[in-house]
Amino acid sequence: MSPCGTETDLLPCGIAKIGKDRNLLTCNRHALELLACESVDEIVGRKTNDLVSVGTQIFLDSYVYPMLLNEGRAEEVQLTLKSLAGETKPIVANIRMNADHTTDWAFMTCVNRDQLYTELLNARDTLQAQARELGRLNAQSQERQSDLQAFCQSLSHDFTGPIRRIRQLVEFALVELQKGGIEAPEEFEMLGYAVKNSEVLTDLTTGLVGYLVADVAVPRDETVDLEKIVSTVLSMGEQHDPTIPKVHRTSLPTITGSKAQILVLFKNLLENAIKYNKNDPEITISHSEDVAKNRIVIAIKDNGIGMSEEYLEKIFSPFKRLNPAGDYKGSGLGLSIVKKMVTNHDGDIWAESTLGTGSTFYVSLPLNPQGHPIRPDSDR
Amino acid sequence: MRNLSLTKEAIIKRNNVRIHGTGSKVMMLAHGFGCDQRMWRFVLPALSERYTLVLFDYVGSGNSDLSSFSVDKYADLNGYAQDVVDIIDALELENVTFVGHSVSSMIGLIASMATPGTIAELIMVCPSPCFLNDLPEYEGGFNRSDLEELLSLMDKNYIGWANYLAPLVMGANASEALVGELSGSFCSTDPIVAKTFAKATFFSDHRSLLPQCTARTLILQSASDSLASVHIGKYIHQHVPSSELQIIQAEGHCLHMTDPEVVARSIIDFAD
Repeated sequence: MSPCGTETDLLPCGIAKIGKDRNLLTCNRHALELLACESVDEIVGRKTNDLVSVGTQIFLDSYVYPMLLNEGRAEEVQLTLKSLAGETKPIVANIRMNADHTTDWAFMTCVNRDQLYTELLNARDTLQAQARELGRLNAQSQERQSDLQAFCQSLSHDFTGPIRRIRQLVEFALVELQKGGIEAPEEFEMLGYAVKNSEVLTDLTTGLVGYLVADVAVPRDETVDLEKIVSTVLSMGEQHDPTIPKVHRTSLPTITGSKAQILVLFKNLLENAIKYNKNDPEITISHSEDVAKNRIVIAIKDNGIGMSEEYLEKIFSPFKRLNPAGDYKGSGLGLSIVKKMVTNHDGDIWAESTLGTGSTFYVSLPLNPQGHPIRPDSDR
Repeated sequence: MRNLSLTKEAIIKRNNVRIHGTGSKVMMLAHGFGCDQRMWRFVLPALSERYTLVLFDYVGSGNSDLSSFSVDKYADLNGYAQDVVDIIDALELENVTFVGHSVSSMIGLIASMATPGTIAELIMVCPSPCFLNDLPEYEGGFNRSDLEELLSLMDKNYIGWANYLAPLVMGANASEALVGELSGSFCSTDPIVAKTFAKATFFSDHRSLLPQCTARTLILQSASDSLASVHIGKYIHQHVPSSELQIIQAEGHCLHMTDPEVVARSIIDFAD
């Protein structure tokens, strides 16, 4: 039954027969070479455990032998051979178990494969560690964001309440003083300024909350009908402001993004367009789509006071006011919030303006992740 | 420790619980690392004539519900023992004889301590309470580096599996449940499951539990087992109060597969 000295010696792979008691019965010449042996006699009768690494012993006993006992074979098993000189070599083996529990082995070295696998495993472990770190940072950032949200809510609640109360008290005091027929025009004027300033403070608080909230990650995969957004914003304006602007506009498409942020974005832009012409505001909303580039550019043109070119870059910075605060209402944060929200959407914003004639704000946004414009619903 | 969140049917499905035989005595057969309940098939005919046999697969092995697997739960043997307790509770078993192969011997011990009196007898087939050396007091057989080599070897053998890169894909949620398809082949275990089970098996030390064992215990040790030598059987025998040790003249770590008649005979002699 010895395969040695027969055709198996001609094969370029190791062939071995292992007994029921896990001792080597015989092997071919190539197997001897791999085990650094001169003759079969040197290793016949040796336990397989003497010819493999300790890790391989455990793997054989806990995994490979149960598989052999149940399925009769195990294929492409990677093991570590240990020569009599103690040198280890990675091998890949196909093993078959016979009815008498002897096993037939065919194996060959796989140094390159082993090296590749080692590299692959190291790369996987590194990636895994990085993924874990990323997850940790992500969780940390989410925690920070929720802290920020809680802070914004408390800011809005804790600040605006007392400010409103101060304003009410001052207004009440003014009325009471006037009722009492007290003549103090200068003091009345001062109290009037106090009321105006409290209004500014309310705007500022609301603006700050908006600015901070603009940083909070929100889902940006919602279907956003720009037409509806603009209609909503314009109707909101009508309720609060007696100055109803003339609006000319094209029918806007539907894009993908955050509904809430895009609503705030247009609210701020349109309010901005209206407030700088107190008498007869006129807004023109137009747009162009570049399907190839998956972009939509929306232009909002007003007939306000306009601005000189040097300010065009600065207007998107927080608290950048070009005009005295008393002249026009607002927190000075509106455009910086818009800028943040546009950036959140991988978009861009810029302005063109002529002093005294009006400004045009351009917002460029991706149409949707698939790169196809979604047509507005058929009901329009 | 009773798990009230799962119904009987859910537990039976989760662990692929199968009943064989109709004897009045209940015997649970628990497979070891790297296998599933099919490894008991050679002793099944002899035992099912006399006992009601409860066979099952640990989550992640055999035909268990892989979606119930969680790296956190099964990071140590307590998770596996909890499943044994769940099965005992679900089937309302009493006076159980628990037969555990290899690592399942310790799982059975943990489960017996968690349900006092329910597991009356423990039969340990090729057990080891600790595979790691703790010299000079205890010779588990292996150094940490040997076991690290085993894990690396397992990794290399599992390259190509569908779930091999799953921890990356799952990212931060790597500890959550995995859902994958196992091939029908015996011992085909999901790489993540296998590695988790291997770590829980080979890096644990349950020596301190041995003296607390109250079940009547039989230790079947193989005369030649590189994973659990005879002296480990003796160590367990010395430390488990009500135990007896039988050394079976056989080769390897799977006595119930290599020498099923001998093992079945020993089990019957002890349990009857």
